Amino acid sequence: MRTLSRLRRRKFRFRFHRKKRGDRVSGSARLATMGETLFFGACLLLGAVTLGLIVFWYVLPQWRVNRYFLETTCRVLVEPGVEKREEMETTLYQPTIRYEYAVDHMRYVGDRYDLLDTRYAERDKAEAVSAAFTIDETYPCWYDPLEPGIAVLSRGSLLAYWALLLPVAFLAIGVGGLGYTVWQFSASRERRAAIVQKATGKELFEDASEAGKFPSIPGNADVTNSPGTTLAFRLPIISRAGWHLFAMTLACLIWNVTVAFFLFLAIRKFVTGDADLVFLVAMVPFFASGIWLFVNLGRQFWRSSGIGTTRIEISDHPLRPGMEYDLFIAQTGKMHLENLDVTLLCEEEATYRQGTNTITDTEAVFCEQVFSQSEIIMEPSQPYQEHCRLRIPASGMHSFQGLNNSISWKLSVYACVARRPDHTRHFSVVVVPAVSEGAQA
Amino acid sequence: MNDWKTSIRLIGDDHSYQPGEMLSGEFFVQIDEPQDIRAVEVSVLWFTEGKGDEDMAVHYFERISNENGQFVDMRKSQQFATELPESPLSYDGVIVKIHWCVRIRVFLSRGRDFVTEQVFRLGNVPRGRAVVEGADLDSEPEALEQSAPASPADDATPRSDAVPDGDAADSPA
Repeated sequence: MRTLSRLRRRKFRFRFHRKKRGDRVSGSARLATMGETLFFGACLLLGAVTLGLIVFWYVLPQWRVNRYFLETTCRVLVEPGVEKREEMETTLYQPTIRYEYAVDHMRYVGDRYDLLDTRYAERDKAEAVSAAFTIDETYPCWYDPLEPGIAVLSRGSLLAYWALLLPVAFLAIGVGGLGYTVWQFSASRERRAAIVQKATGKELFEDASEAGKFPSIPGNADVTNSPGTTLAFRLPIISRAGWHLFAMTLACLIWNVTVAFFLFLAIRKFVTGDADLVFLVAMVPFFASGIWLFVNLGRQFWRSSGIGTTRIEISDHPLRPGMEYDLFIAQTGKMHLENLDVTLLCEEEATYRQGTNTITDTEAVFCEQVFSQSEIIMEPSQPYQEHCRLRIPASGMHSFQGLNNSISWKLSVYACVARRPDHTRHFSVVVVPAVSEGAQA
Repeated sequence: MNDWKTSIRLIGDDHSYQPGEMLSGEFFVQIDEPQDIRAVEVSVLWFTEGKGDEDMAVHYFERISNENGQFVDMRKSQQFATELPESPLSYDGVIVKIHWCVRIRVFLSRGRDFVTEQVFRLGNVPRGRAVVEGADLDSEPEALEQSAPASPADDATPRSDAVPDGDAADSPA
């Protein structure tokens, strides 16, 4: 005997506390808006102030050097070196290059490498800068025509411009967030929805596409893009098994490699006569967990590899309530199927947020067996194939897809295989509303 | 402060419509000072109710504004009409319910607004019923309720206090 619970899914995430849902709104909307406004306002202020400071202290002087400073030549007066400086409990190194240059027959002495007097955390970098200059040699330099006493040997790096990225990011967050808050506050929910729908191409009035004909119903391109070999369309399988297996394999590998490393350290200590018994005992639960992961992974492989492919084809798609369709079921593999059942299932799915958790609940509202066969002996060369009829109930609700709520129809294939775990595979179908009497006329 | 009341009237006997059918109606606002109305928004929309967070989509939207210098006296009947879509149909499920309504949102001066709704049914999908846990699928099939859908008249009363998104809906003084 098979029960519905085998076919049902219930996604539940662990939560540390449960909040009262009550009237659904657990906080004050006005308070939330105020909080958002304050947060985005703070971002905007921080971004604007930081941007102003960076522009004033770094970007503008750098820009002036590149744009207005005039080029001339200079001669290095003393052997270039590196000066060690202690600034805010940090040791920094600054290249010291003393040079002379002439502007309008006036002699000036400069010691700036660049306008920002860059200091380096590593001595090597400062030495590399000063090593590029030799005493008594001449080099190009740039001086300020408004203040000829200021000159530099390097016109600077792009660092000043990169430094702008951080305040600009804060500014963008602040402006975007405040704009969104104002938008939320100033326009009604309906108006916002209408504008968003229009902007995203979901026209309010007319849309000639299939998706536009049946708003809020998932498209059936996944099915119609895949023609069947016996009937018109091959139904797509709803499968998360591959990802589960991948995630499990990855977790198993990471865990066991880590445990193996620590085990190696423990064994090496033991062999060298410096055995750490506490460490060895502490390793036991981790080692046991690793074994458990291996066993679980093996079971998953065994489960997924033991059953061949299941294929379901259907004579037409999308489906309509009250209509009947041909169904073709094919199962491959070498096994003894004690039972093979195909069930038509309609489920409501609701997603809601509870505190910081997102929970999805599922409720089946229709469940009907469309095919059942017992004691099937299968050979690899001879896949099991069968035809049957599928009828969508006339009173059935159509498929529906919202952001948080959905109604989905699917065919669930349940295989009870001898000496193996039971196996269920789901195939999605899309049900659209029945043709109304007015439309038929 | 003004007393106000919005009346919505849908054309049709039982507030039940079929996909593709024309939904038409009228509304007017009973208010002492019609100049206090900044704008009125007429929406034909669906929203979900039940266990999940609310979904909503607007099928028809019109904003009648008094702010552009052209005064529209909302005390007089204002008509609206739209062709209803093929989906989603009204549905009264176990954890998912889909409702259609005409929503009139009146914006008054000083930033206040109030909402009035007139619920109607689109299609005639029967009420959903949970499949009994542990039911033997080899026996009787579990089916959606075969009885007639719940009458829309049950919830067709205009609601002046319904503000699903938590916006302020001030009551009259």
